[in-house]
Amino acid sequence: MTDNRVVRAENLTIRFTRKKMPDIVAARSVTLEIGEKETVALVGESGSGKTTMGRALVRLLRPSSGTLWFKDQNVTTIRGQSLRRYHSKAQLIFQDPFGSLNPFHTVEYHLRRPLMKLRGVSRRGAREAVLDLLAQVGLTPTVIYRGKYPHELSGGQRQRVAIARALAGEPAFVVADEPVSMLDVSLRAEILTLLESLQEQRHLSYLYITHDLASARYLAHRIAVMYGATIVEMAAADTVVRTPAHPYTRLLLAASVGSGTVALPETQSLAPDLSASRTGCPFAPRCPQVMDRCRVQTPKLIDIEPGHAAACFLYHDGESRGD
Amino acid sequence: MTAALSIEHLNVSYRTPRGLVSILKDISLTLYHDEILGVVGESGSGKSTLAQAIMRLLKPNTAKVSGRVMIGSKDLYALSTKELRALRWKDVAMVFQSSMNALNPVISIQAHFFDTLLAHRPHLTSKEVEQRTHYLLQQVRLNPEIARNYPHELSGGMRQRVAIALALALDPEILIMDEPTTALDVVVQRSILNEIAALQRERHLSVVLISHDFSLVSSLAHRMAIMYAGQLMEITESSGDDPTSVRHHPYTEGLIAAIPQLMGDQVRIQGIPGEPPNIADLVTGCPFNDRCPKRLDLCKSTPLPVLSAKTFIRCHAMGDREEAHNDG
Ligand SMILES: Nc1ncnc2c1ncn2[C@@H]1O[C@H](COP(=O)(O)OP(=O)(O)OP(=O)(O)O)[C@@H](O)[C@H]1O
Ligand SMILES: Nc1ncnc2c1ncn2[C@@H]1O[C@H](COP(=O)(O)OP(=O)(O)O)[C@@H](O)[C@H]1O
Ligand code: SF4
Ligand code: SF4
Ligand SMILES: [Mg+2]
Ligand SMILES: [Mg+2]
Repeated sequence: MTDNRVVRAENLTIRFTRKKMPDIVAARSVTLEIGEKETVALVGESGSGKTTMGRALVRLLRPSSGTLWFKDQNVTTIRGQSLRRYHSKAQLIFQDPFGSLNPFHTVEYHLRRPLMKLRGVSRRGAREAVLDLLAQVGLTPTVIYRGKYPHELSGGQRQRVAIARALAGEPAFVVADEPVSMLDVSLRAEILTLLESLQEQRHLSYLYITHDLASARYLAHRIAVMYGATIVEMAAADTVVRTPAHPYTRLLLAASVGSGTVALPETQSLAPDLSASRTGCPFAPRCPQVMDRCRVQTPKLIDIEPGHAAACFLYHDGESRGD
Repeated sequence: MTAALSIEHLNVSYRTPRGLVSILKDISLTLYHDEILGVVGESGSGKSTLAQAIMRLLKPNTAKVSGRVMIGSKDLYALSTKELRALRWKDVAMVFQSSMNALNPVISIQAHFFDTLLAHRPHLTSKEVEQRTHYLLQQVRLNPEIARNYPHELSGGMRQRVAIALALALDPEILIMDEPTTALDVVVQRSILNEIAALQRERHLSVVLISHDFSLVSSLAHRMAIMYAGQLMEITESSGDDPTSVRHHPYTEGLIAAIPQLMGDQVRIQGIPGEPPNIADLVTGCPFNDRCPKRLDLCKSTPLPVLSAKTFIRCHAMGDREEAHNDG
């Protein structure tokens, strides 16, 4: 993975300060890399920090500490022109295609802007390029869709527009944050297979954020499981689903439809502590296998076998020194 | 198998500024005692309209309803409002996706149970209400201590469990649930659904479980009714983890092919081309015809037969539908 990596986050930490409340650490010393034409799925419960990580990787958020690499450029703190250039290379697709499109503008307007701003296409050239993009995301006949407003489109069509817009700057890396979770089953598959074929044609790298392990396994080469602002397990997609190591991954798998498991391996349902002062394993309060040390020391994410990493003292003694 | 609730030729139209819009088209469906009947359909297919129509919650000035909803020998639509109020909660209770947000923010969880229980059983003492609350909260795996809390002090998953406990308060035999766990996290969702399944087994409840999530419902329900554009397309025995083991309606087959599987060999998924029709559009033939890979010439214009049996498939191309027509 290292020779063709496109994005690499090293010990990335994102801290939010809030009024009259303690700070929240939504991503804690996260290390993650994505290779060329690779899809990494980020799965985990609500509030675990997936969107935060996704936004940081495309630099819509500036990391509080750690380093972010795009190919061999350090993009952790870039701003102005260099940040704009990075934004053409790293794009985000949102969950809610309606919220992310402006109701007062046509499809063409949404696509023309990034073409002109990010790729420097002339107004004239943009016309052709818009039709080309529409064709690539399957919105044909393109001349019809060009002039439509968001409310004239179905949910699936709007998500296609959102994908086309993300592609306009010719990115190498796309974060897709729950791109199908608001869509109906029969349309989800269409969008997932569209993402697949665009990856093939354009050599894209994806971070696919989802709650759904089955679609993660389908789309991704590797799956990273996030819990309480940290990655707790990472391996090839099939490995995570067939031989999950971390107790949270096992819980998530048991809860997923199709796992055949009935009883849920957890001691209680509790949201993890995201405060900066947290110590110990974030999953300790729910973990059926918790040991004394889990409550005071934080396990590090390290390989338990080649290509399969877990942050859990059941497998190793590696301790993380936090952020 | 005896019927707990039966829906007979139910038609619902909404009154809109542009006139009546027909939504549910001739739905006949029986819920048997001691079963979970799943109702699956994509958004806008009419599931919530069905849930509200079953409970007679649609106001006459918003919707026009015809047909019958029978519980035992009573037709819900023939009852007086007073009789209806007595029957809701006691015989039939409901949980909606929004139930967790429908709790009263200014009273404690305990007070909710007082309100519900005393409205139907005014002779209960405070002590009895508290004991029953304790018991009900335990049944949905909540710590009974949360009775003292206010709704905003609980997570969404906990509030939804409170809503389920409230629905069970008067020991109803029938439970209607419309997307009861849709907004919740995977683990919370599964734990609530496990609870529902366990309660159903223990109390022999008859449950209608409505959801857009085909695989989730098929993992839980005994039978599934598949809705498309306001019509019932199929009722099938649920086959759990391997839905391909049974013959299905072409639309159902399309759904199954669109869902990635968690385990087993990696099979390529495939969407159903096109978009669901606008439910308000009038169709004479099969509403699925413009997306159907098995379409025949007659499908566009020939209405689907109205069937009512334990399981059936409404499709012109599935010749032996009579075979599935036997009442079981
Ligand atoms: N701008 C912000 N200011 C303060 N806290 C924030 C901010 N953005 C996110 N958070 C907090 O950070 C944590 C992680 O949020 P995030 O949106 O990354 O979770 P997620 O894994 O994407 O969840 P979901 O699955 O619900 O989308 C949450 O506790 C959230 O409330
Ligand atoms: N009060 C209403 N007035 C008019 N149309 C409505 C009303 N409620 C729902 N509808 C329409 O009825 C159709 C079915 O809606 P609904 O029963 O909520 O579907 P589902 O629950 O399957 O998503 C939709 O087209 C919806 O817009
Ligand atoms: S480190 Fe300890 S508490 Fe954390 S998941 Fe492993 S066993 Fe459980
Ligand atoms: S009736 Fe015709 S169009 Fe409808 S599902 Fe059957 S074959 Fe397809
Ligand atoms: Mg998110
Ligand atoms: Mg609904």
